[in-house]
Amino acid sequence: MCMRRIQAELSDWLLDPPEGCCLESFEPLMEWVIIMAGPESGAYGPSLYRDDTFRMSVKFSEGYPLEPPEVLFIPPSPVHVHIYSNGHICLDILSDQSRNGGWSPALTISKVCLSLRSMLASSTEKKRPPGDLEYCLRTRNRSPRETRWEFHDTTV
Amino acid sequence: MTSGQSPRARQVTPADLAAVEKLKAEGNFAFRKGKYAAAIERYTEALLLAPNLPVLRVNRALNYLRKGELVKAVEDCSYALRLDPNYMKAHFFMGQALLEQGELLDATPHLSKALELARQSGDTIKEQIWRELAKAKYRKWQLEATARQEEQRALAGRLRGLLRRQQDTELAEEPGDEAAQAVLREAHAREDAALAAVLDRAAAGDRAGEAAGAVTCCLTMEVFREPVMLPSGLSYEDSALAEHFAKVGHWDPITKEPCKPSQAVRNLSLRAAAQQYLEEHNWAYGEIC
Repeated sequence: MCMRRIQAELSDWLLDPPEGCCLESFEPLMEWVIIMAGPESGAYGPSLYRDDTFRMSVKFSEGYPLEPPEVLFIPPSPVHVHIYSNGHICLDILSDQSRNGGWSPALTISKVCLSLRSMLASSTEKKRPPGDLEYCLRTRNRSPRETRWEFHDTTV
Repeated sequence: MTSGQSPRARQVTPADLAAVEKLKAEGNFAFRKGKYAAAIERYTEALLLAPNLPVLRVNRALNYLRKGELVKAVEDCSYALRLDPNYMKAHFFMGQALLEQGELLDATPHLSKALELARQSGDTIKEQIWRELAKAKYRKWQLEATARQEEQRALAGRLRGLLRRQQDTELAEEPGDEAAQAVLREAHAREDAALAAVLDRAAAGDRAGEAAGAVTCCLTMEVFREPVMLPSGLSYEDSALAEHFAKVGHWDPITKEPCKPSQAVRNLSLRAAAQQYLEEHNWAYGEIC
């Protein structure tokens, strides 16, 4: 199922890419690189990231879309309270550990990108998550999919 | 029986049958190794002993198909279908061989019949048949759409020419009257736009796009083939949902409510709707094959 589904998502993306995003590469098909422009406007006027451009790495597994893709920012990552400096993102829809919310196979990379952009848009402060340095040392060279996230804050 | 001329006249003895079974097993083994010529030899030998055993014809046909000897594949399948008109694989290989030969019109009924038979018996080969059928329908649509486009383009050219001539005549009837000419020009511009809109609408049916979400499975992102419904009311492609139950867990993939695989029931209405959608939007077959 996974290859056909990724192929289908790719066709849809090329036909109708999410706002502010473009594909830098999709070769091999299981590993995409996405370029994301920071959102123009935020909750209170212009967004903090409007002049920034970020690169994201998306890795699909054989179990996709039943399991979530591995999505992270390629450093330098946006300075955001849910994004670690190594690019790991604390976002419930990227995790299959939470049964409420969490990843759903009905989601697509396109929808994930829109979520991430709105997460950036609603940020009011350029700040790293608490314990950023310690987290980055602990998870060096590891996939964010191995992290046990705790989703305590749903406001940002 | 000693006449020996007609294959039907010869009695197959138990010793023959044992030899046939052995040759067939050897043929199947060679096929799995990709040695199609060797497999064909075995089946041919077996057919000398039991000419009317359809399975030998069908197995040989598959090897011919893999080797690209399409005419022979069609021959063997036709023979098998004369012996057993409801032989699913004979219809399938026949359809595939005809499709490869570009005989789209002849291929489709065989593939459709094979799909129907595979659905009845629940054979997992049905997915493969479905994709071949989609391929046949998509290629047919490509040919028809190309022809239609050319026809419409030629017609559009003629219509525009006729309209322009009529408009010029009307303008010539009001020589020197600037105001009347201006009114006419405005009316003519509206006519031109209306004609363009009509022609565009006629061509729209053949423009490929994104298949409608209502007939698309959110797991496979393909148009539904065998939708099954869960207690939540949401439907999923049968094979994708089975994979979810086996590998992830026993809950609805979207609502995450716990449910048992046995609670998935076939959604025939949605299947019919998806089928109808495909018939009306033939280009959508392109995403399946």
